[in-house]
Amino acid sequence: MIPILFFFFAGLAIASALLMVTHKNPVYCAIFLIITFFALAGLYFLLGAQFLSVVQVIIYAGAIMVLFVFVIMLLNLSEEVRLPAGRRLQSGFGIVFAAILGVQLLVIAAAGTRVFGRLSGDTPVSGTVERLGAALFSTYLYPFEIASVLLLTGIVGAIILGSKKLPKEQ
Amino acid sequence: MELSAPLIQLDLITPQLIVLAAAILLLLLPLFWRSLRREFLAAIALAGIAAALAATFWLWSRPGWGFAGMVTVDRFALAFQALFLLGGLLTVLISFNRIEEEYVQHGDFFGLLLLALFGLMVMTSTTHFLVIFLGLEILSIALYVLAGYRKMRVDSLEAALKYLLLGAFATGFFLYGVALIYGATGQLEMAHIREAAAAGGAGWLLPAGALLVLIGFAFKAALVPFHMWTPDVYQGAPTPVTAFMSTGTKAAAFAVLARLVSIAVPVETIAWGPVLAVLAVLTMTVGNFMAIVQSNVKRMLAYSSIAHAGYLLVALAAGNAAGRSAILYYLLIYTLMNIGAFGVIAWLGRSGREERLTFESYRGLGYRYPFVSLAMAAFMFSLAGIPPTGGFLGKFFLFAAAVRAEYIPLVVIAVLNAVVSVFYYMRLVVNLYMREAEEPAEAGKAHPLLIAALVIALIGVVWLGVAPGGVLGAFNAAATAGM
Repeated sequence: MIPILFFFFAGLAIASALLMVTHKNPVYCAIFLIITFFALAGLYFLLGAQFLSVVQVIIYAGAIMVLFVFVIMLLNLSEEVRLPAGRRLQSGFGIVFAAILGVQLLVIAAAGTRVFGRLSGDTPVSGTVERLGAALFSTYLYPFEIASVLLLTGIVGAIILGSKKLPKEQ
Repeated sequence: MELSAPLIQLDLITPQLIVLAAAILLLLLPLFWRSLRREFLAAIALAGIAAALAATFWLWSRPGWGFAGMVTVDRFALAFQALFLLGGLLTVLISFNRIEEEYVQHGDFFGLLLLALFGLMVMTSTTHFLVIFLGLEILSIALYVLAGYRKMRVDSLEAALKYLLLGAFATGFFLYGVALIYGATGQLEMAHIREAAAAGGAGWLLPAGALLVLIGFAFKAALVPFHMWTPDVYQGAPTPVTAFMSTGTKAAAFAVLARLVSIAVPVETIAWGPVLAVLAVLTMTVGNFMAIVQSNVKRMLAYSSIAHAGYLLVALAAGNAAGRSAILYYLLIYTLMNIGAFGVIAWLGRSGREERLTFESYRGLGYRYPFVSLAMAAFMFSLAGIPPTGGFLGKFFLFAAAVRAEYIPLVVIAVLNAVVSVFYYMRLVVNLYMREAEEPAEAGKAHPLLIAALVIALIGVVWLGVAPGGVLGAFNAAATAGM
């Protein structure tokens, strides 16, 4: 059952990612991106990372996608806007980075479990909410509390930048 | 499931807690009392910083570890905390100038400044990469907003946007590096990383990750070739924010880098000496030569801060305790003289409606405003490294540490660079005293708090140049702690 599900989610993720890149209409692109996120959430679930898969749906497929759709709506994009042709430098960089990425993939595939085996071999991975909560409130208590200050800073900063009360300039 | 609560030692993080409490107070109070005087708000900020400073000194004799290894309060961390708090104190004081006074009245400004300070302190009082990341992000997000605090100004917004984009980029590098380190060793705590690396060959993942972390902090500390954002951001951000950014962020980056090269990824794994030496030469040379051609004083100081990061790298490349102690000593002097110089710019910052930012606009001020000009001249002498100021002694300690580690060619290049830097610092002094202005220069009266900042910085710069004894002894103790 699990291999079938794996290939289903993996295939879905790859196919919708490809469609997202190639489709011309930004709204369709956004929808395919959502499907990719859902497929990834399924993969996380199969790996035993339940919490991560739920967060993936809530944050990526939920919050971040709403942001994308908002931007598309506000910019009133209907058709793809083509960049002016002849950006040789940029396409050169693109090719170089694509080559680097390809080599990395090949190395990882060739090394197989030798590179990452150690991590997955040592500790049984289980991303249940219970385990995560226990970790957050014991070992990781301090970073957990510090993260709340980080969120506070973000909120305060957003309010300051977004508030209409502008100080007079000159 | 059994929950094992970690040992909660709140006393170890007293300074952070005080700063955080002051920040929250500053954010909340103006909501209830709308017409608070800005002096009152500043008093809260200053009281918080002073109390945190006192707590830092109190912790000096009782360092410790807590929160399941997430908090490391050794003397190295405490020395940096004191440094940040001093920088924060001076930054609050120099916010009392005619340009910023209309911005700082809402309390958010000081609130965000203290949050940034909190981030700095969190980031340095730990050896765990997760906590370093959180502290770095608190600092960065507060600074993005502070850089764009003058919302009606295009250059301020440009500064904020550039800082945000490149800062996010730098964080990406840092996180990728940490992920590789975790992949190689399965650890995020620096001492554990070292043990895991020593136990089994970590392969190329560990050095690759360490280099990416170095690049991430190279952005933050404005090292060449990761410095492109610096002049624009320093020029566009409000002057006190620039002063804070140029000292606090740089100091924190060097604190983490010093721990990275001496604890987490030692020289057996990666040859730090040559890597850092190359970075140092690039940073010093590019910073100094770009500073020569600037006509805007804030941009000149931005390139000068790049050059100073290069001098600090010389001692970091040395990789010994003397180098770490020298870095601390130099960062202390650098905090005083750089915030002092920005304080003078904040005072003289506006003549009439125009901002006074070119070298020419400082002409003829020397005899009309003797105190502020004298202070500026002293800060420039110190930045150039001319005795009897602290800048000379600081550079001497930096280079002496490198000589001890037998980096002679590197020190020769560094000294030559310091000579080059004399040119552009003296250009400002010459403009102050030896050039006549076409029209009489006006600077207006300064706020007593701004004058207090300049007096503190001036006394500090001269004192550290004449009597280094006590401070240096403390920093020597800090440099060997926990390494």
